Amino acid sequence: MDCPTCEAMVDAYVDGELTAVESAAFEHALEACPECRKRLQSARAIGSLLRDLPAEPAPDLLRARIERELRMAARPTIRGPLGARLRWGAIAASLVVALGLGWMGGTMTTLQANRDPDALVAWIGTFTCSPTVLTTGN
Amino acid sequence: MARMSDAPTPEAGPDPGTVERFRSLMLPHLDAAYGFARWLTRDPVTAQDLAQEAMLRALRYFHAFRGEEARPWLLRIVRNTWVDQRGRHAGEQPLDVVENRPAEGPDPEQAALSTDRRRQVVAALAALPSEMREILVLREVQDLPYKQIAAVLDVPLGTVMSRLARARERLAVELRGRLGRREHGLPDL
Repeated sequence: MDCPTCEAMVDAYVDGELTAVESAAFEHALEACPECRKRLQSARAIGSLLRDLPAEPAPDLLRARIERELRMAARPTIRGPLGARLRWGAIAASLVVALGLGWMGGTMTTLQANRDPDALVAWIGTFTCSPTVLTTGN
Repeated sequence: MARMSDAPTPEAGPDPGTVERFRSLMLPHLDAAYGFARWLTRDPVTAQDLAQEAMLRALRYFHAFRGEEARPWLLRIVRNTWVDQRGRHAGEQPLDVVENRPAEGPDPEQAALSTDRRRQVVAALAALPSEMREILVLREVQDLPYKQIAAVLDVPLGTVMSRLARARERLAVELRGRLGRREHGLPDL
């Protein structure tokens, strides 16, 4: 093995990326190559200096922020056939309410136009509401 | 592997089951994601923002996770998020200024408590260009094999090898300038 080949293998050797056969060939070539031995020593020293650095865990604040985001993302939204039925049900209910309010509004307008308080009170009575609430001013 | 940011946005948010699966598979690697973000940004506050944005992006693209190694998958998203963020803020803080300023390292407080040697190693690594810094962190701190480093950086295996060799050489030069021979244990080349 020539020196450039040997030199190119130093990092892969240190990092355990060579096969057993390649490693053996590299180690054999190393005996005759003082420059590559220095490179190997340097790569190992760099590795041990970097691995000696203390690990810094994620701060609690960051963990809490992410947990909050995950909780918000996991809020139950009902999917599938049941969810679809519920959604259609909600739309139908909204329509009924809207139509009902529209009908009530129309009826009240008619009663107010006739200025017949008794009829208005009687009409309101059918909805079991207190007449005093709505008869003010009529 | 396609860039996560290039993938189509899912129409609906994740269902509770997906969030639970994400929590059990990805959350154990939050320390790794933050640690990598810390070295990429060299700033504790920016690193928290980056890690949070990356985790949310990971959740959005979790449907594309196919059961491969979770940590490199997440670290790749951290890096892509950082690349995108840096692109957004490039006008505010020129990259060459960021890369060339003498950095204090990931945690000044921690560094003050550690030995002078550690502080110098942190400073030397932080002072490297980001391309060298990230590959050294992925190999020596995150302990990833070449194949996973290639996936995180989206480069061929040969590039990982040559870039790593250059990065080690450059760090050795930095450390020789900062530490006495007995402290760094590096031979003269």
